[in-house]
Amino acid sequence: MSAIASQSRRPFTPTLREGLAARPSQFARSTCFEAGHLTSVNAGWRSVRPVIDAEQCTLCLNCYMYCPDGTIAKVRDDEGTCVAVVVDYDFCKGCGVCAKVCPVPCIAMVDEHAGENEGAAETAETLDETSPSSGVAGVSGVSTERVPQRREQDSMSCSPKRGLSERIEIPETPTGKGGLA
Amino acid sequence: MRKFLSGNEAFAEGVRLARPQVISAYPITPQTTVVEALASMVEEGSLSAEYLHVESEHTALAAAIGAAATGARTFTATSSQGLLYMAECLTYASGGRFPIVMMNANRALALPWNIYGDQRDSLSLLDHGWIQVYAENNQEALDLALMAYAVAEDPRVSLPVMVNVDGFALTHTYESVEVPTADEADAFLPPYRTANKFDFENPVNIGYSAGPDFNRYYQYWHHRDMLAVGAVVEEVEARFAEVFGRAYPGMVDAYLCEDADFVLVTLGSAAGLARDVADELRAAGKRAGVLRIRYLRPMPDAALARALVDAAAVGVLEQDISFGGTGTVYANVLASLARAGVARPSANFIGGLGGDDISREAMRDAFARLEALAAGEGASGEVVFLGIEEGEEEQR
Repeated sequence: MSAIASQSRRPFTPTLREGLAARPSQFARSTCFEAGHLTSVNAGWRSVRPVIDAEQCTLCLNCYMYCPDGTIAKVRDDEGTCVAVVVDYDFCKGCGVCAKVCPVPCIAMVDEHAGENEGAAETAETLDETSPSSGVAGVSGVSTERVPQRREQDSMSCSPKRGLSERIEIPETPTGKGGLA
Repeated sequence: MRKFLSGNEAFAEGVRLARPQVISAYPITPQTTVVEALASMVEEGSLSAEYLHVESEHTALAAAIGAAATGARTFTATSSQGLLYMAECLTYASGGRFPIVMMNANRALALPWNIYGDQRDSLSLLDHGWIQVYAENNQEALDLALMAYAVAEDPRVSLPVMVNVDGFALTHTYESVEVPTADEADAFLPPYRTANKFDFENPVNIGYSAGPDFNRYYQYWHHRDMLAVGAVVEEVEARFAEVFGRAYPGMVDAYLCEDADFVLVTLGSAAGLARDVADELRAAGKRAGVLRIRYLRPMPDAALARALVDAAAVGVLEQDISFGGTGTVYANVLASLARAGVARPSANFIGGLGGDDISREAMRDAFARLEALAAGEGASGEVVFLGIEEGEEEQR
């Protein structure tokens, strides 16, 4: 059974997110409202999700700036200094732009339903149907977290080229493109 | 300082004094000389604004919306087909609650193609959530440029304002106009401050969507906030009178209505001729009155009812027609009166279409029909096209 068919279709209906205390008379007098009060959980069609490796993150804020849905937020310490960036999975669509623009790179696009698929073999198949499974995940592991390989054609003119000390091969997906396709 | 200015030149002076930060400009007759005058002012340095020469009216308003979303005071202007071309942006501006001021030079709509003045353009777009006000003369046009920002930017309002200026009759006609000083204007109109804007330090969700669960709240509050505009207009005009010494009468301008037997309701520059003819009638012992609607959105229900309740007949003279129905102002006035329980014999006069002159004779005829209605003669509710002779109607 292909991965796409086996993905559960999670229904979503617009719901008020828990903790949103605003009343309509507060937010409905303009279409401008304080950030962080997205009212609808709206992420049901995601097939991959970004996972940020906080230890490698340089806080360049590229992902924060480029996210088309504005779902990446700054985490600030008591003095107001930004110490991390986090993804709001209630709203992230899994488009992968953040991973694409990360100059490190330290954002992996992880199979959304990796934990739900039965068995690792099927997991490996979801990413690659032609080559033997290899790389970080291996056959036995359920986790499909990958450190993305920075390819020549992916370099962003604004970010410095960094050579990875260890290049990890990402197997070809059925589309023939790399893991970030 | 007193100057001899066309309506467009006068409006440009008002805009200069309002200190917009961004002007998005696309020309269209009979608005063009406004944006040309503003371009000259920016070039010579008497107006410090970011002047965007865009490639269409749709972009003109879209650019103004974008600029407003950064917290800038913005201005744009258009007319006729240009207004219709940017029509889809009108609801983005009003629903987004951006206090843009736009001057609309009232002009006829194609087809047939016509560049002259009538009021079909703005009257066909009353529903899109903008405040709409109509100037009678060039002084009012200049003054409205300043007052429009004061009303629009009031936090109780936060809505865009369309200032309508009759094409050619005002835009290209020269009158003696008092141009305030920059100091007076600054005393009246402070810089625009808002939280409704992009801000890296205080990020906001802006211009988002609202589904079936919450959409109605936005429409409800938009409507409610429109209904509060009348009170804000009164306050703004009181302040205006204090600073500039010119007093404006609020949502409507009632002339001799208190004891009138019959009243003609109208918009814009035609009111001048209407009052002239009303004076003639008064001299002949007939109690005529004229009610000029200044703000048509929001609908000045209370002021209308108050002015018309004692009249025995009401007429509406307007420069538009909603095909297959009546003139739009007439429909609005009748609804307003009906809601107030004021039902009167009435008539709708459609004149001035495509730049047609409304003659003194036609004005007299309109009043004569109202006088007859007030005396119980003639059929109520007729839509009468001025300048179409009896008999001509039947020719094909």
